[in-house]
Amino acid sequence: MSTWNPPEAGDPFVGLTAVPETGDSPDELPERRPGFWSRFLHQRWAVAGVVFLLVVIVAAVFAPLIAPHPPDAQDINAVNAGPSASHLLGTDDLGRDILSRLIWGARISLRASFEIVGMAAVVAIPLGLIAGFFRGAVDTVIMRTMDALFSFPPLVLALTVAALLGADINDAAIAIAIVFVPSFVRLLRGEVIAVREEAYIESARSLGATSKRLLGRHVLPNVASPIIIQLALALGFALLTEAGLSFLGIGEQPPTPSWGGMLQEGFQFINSTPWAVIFPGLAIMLTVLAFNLVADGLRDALGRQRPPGSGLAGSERSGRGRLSTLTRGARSRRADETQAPVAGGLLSVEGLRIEFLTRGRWLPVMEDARFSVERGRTLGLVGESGSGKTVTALALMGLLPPSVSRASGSVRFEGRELIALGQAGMRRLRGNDMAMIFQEPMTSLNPAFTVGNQIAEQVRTHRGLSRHDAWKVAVEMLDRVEIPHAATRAADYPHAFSGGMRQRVMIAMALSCAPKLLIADEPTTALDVTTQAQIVELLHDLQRQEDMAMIFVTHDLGVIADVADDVVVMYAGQIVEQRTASDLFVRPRHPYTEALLHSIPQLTPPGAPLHAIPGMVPRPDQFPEGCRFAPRCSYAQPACAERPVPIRAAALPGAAPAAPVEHGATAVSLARCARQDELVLSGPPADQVRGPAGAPAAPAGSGAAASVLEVADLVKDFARRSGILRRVNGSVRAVDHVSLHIPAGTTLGLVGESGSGKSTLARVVLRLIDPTAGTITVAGKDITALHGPALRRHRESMQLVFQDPYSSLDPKQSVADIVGEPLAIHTSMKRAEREQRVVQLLGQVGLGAHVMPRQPHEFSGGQRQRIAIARALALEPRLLVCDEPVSALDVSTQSQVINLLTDLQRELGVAYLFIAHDLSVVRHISDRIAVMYLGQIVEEGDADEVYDRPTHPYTAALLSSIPVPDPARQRRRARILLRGEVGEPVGEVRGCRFRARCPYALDLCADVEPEPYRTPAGVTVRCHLHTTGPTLGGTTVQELAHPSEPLEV
Amino acid sequence: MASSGGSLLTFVVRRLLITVLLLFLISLGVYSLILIIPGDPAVALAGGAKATPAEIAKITAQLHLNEGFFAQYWHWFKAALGGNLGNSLFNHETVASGIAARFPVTLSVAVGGMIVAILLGLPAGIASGLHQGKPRDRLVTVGSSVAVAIPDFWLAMILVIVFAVKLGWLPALGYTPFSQSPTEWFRDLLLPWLALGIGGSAVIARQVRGALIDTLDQDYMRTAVAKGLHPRVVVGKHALKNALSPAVTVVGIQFGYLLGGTLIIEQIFSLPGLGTYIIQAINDKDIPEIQGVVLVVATAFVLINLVVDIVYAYLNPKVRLT
Repeated sequence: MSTWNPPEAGDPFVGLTAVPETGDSPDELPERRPGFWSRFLHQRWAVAGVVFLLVVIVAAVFAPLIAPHPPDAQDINAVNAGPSASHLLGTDDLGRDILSRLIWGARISLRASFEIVGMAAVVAIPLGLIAGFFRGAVDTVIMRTMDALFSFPPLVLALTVAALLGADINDAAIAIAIVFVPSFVRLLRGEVIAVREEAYIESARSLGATSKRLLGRHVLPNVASPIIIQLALALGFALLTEAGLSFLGIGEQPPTPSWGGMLQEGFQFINSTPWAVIFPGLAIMLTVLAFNLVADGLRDALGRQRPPGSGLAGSERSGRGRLSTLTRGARSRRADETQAPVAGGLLSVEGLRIEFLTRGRWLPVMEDARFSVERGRTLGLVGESGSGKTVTALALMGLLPPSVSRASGSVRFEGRELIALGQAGMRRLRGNDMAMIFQEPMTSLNPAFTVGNQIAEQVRTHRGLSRHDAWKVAVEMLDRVEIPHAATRAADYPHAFSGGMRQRVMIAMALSCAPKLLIADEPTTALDVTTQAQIVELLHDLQRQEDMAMIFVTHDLGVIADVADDVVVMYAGQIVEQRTASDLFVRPRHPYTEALLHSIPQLTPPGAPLHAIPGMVPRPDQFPEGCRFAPRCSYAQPACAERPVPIRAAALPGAAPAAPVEHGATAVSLARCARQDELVLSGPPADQVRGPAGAPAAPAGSGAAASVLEVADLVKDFARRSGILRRVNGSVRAVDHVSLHIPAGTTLGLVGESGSGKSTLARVVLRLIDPTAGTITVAGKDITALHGPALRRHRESMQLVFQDPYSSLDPKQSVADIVGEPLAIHTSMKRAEREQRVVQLLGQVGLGAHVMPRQPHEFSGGQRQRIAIARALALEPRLLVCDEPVSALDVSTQSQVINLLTDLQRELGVAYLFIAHDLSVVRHISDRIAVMYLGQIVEEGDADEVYDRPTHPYTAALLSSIPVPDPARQRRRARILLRGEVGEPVGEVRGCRFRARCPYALDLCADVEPEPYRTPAGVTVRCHLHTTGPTLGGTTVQELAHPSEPLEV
Repeated sequence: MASSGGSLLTFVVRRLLITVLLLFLISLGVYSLILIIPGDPAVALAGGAKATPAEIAKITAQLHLNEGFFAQYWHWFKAALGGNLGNSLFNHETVASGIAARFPVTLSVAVGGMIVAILLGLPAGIASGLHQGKPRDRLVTVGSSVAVAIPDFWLAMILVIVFAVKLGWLPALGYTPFSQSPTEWFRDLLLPWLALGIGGSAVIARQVRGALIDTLDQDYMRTAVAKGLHPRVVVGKHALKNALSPAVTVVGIQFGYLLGGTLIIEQIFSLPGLGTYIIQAINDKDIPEIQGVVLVVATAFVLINLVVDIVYAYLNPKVRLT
């Protein structure tokens, strides 16, 4: 049930700025959220409910003092009397005062509801916790019993049980409590299961917490809110049910008044004395209403506040306001004074300004945007989260929510002004002449309709085709985006497609009406590199065929180098630089562009720290007065902060300063830097784009160091259930005979597409999942067979850092508790000692002691990841498993965290198992790299060796999928596009797992599984090309990776 | 990846098997009601302390009380499968025929109440969800908050006071079978339907409103707008199908509350349904009658929820996988 007060119009910043990343200084902490009481007391209806209940409770407790008459006193002179001075609410058939009986009745009725809910909670809470937390057979037994109980209509069950037990109020209460138990258990179990899936539970387990600690410290506090809300609602419902039973004569017996009993007595005289039923009914209704209002208030005040932008990397989930208003209503936008059309361009934008309504103020989130794009060309919009790039893209399509946003300026499409076009006109353009695809293919398709239906619908809307013809077009489009078996797949629902396939469906849909302009908003961010390469290639081909203009929004400069002809760089709601892609990467003219380019791991030599931009993107209400980048700029001078900087033509260094750009001017290169004429900025040196081959990165003494992690022949099978009875009928081998070793103080990078088994391997290594076979040795101790307390004790030497910094920290704990938890589990330190150590740990990760009382939701993603690292380091582990620790972070924050990990390794000598899908990050931090495919390590060796001279065709394909952040070279590269996707190794697998996607597969590969083979260069590879075909081995595969370039041997 | 057509069938078959198991558990539960009775059930059923040994012996034999619990249950279960729910201890009729005579009344009250609940709740929830924060949304949220707090049997009395006693438009009590006079049947049941349906409509309206607001915030709704669809299609097709499928499950659960509410409401309108029957049975401690009514009502509830789940799976293809 929802609130009385409709929630205030969503704070657009929630989406717009995502989470301001980076930034660790104290003043950069966001404002604290108001406390529970302040939030609760702000809801006047909930407060009214509390006040009413208090009045009723006080009246009930002090009934003998307050009630004007005794409950059974009969006034012979006033039988069935209406309200009067002596009987405010009248009297009943026996002349008893109704008001007094109501006050006395409150004692019975309220006590009954509290008893009912109390008894139900006492039974249900342990059952729900046990069922949800331990699952398995206990869960099945409990839940089947609950299902059976739930199958009785509630009142019927209560009525029957009460009738058979006896008829007094306590029996009735027990009977009603039984009815409440199943719904409590179900709710609580659901909540516990949801919490159990959270990463912070897994991380507490990996710290060695006992089940008791997990339940008491983590699960219970996090499920408390829904329980409390449910109890408040149940109180009202219990009152109603008790009244119903009393009305039927089951419960408190006359003459003792209860509200339900009064209704029963009154009912017999309903014709003569209506108030004898009206007032008790009103009392019940108002009390139940009060309970419900309090529950609603609690829901809003206790509601879990999930921080924004908790999705994947740099997700700028902006403009997702109320579509309910978006789908209707006029667009509140005003066109500027008519201007001369901008020369050229399919789409041209002039002076576009976008504002969002926030706390009653219109704040600009994009100002003075100007760019144009022509058919056959691609414009890239690039910037960090909060730069305004997605908002701009949405504004072009008229997709911003009109109630909280407005756009002004000029957007011309084929000479037509879109800003003043209105909804009907926009509708004819959208999906027809201009189409858009979005970042999240998993959620952008409607789950309730087949993909064919969704494509056909668009064709029918704009082309007026018949159902049959539109379906044919849909199949044709699916075929064009290379979805196998398009004719049958068209009848499938979106959930039957993988992420990459759904993005293909989105593209098929967007292109179904042959649009002249396609806007792609981070279309590949949520996908694997190999899938990204496929999608980019597909878009390329389709663009060529259709002579279509494209606007490509992304935070990834590598992708920009791959796709864009022209680039617009955005920062804090402004365009800071604009020029052709080939120029931008060689000669950036704005310090922000330069900083972004330098943050790319591929462009930094291994071993050197990554370039990190200090601070964070400001929120729209905190944009600096002068140059918005000045606070983070390494070239800033005091003058930069004084006045806004206009965008102007970027001349070559030394030439005369250029004038600000006039409307309509078509300058090729623009930048918004006060010092752009004097600064000489650089892209990365060309020879660094792929680091020099064989650059030594091995840490001192790594050869002699003992292994911290030794894994031998590790296997993990998962049971696979299917069919009507959900029987186990096979297994999936997620980890297949993996052997690894990591010497102290070194890093092993583990890469592979999603579904390759990386995360499973990590969890098996940490014994969070039990292995099927093989051995795991950590710090010299075989932990394969450890369990219970022995395993928990040993967890102090191995720790885990998670991908998602939003879910790996318990939202109910303070930073001091979070970082101190491993110490509380494994040491006998006193609280003060623990806090001292926590301060020290926070210092190591660059956070001050003042953050200790704060809760996770108050931090940005980068800061949370630092907290998680501090916790992982608390016990000075020998091994740290990092599962995609930076993939949820923006590029500059990513650099900060990677640098931190590198520094800590140097100081502490901890070994890392570093899992990532981003090969350039892995290469930067790793000494050795292991490549995983369908549960097997297919290649393992020295990082530079594997990266520069891949020996397995899969490694080569992965490497070739990463776009090189240099347009000229990226275009020269011939790519190996892997067809298809990672499958599932079900049952008996024969031959090489990669052969179906391998361009070099031999006949042999289908029959014989390749054994690990050690090449002369010290790389272990599972591939027949190296053992059987000397002509095919070595060079051929190396050429795959960087085919158009001379081999650097 | 499984194609969707086959998995709906799998889902239905699975769900049917679960239902059979559930019905078995329910029958066991219903029969165990006899265990709750304090003391020797035979004595209690025969009338307590004043029961004669002959009466006690008769009841013991009739209910097989001298055998073990599971043997007793087995006798009862076998007979129940064949439609024989035993004989009433006090009335001279079989439980099955007693129920058969009254079940149609209860069913028509509950189903009619459900229809009222849907007819009122669905449009209110949709209007409210689509116009969040607007006056009509306020009206629906405030109205539904009050409506869920009203005891339905009290509402029934108020309706009687207003429409039967004061205005005299509709009968205050009584029942005319449909076969006798459809109009009288309708006039007799209109007030019970309203009394039951208004509370149910509030629950449905709140559910639909919440689901619709959630749905409108989904990424695929933005996709639908970006496709250039008319707002009518965006809301009517893309939002409603997703928002209404959770409402279907609420209808199923709500039906259970309506069945319970019906039992009370029947007292107020003197309707000869299962409600009056079971209250009498409870007063008489007529165990076979109580067991029979509970079994029939629970079975009806389970079967309704089976249909609801299948409709839900049809509307929501993803559910079929679980």
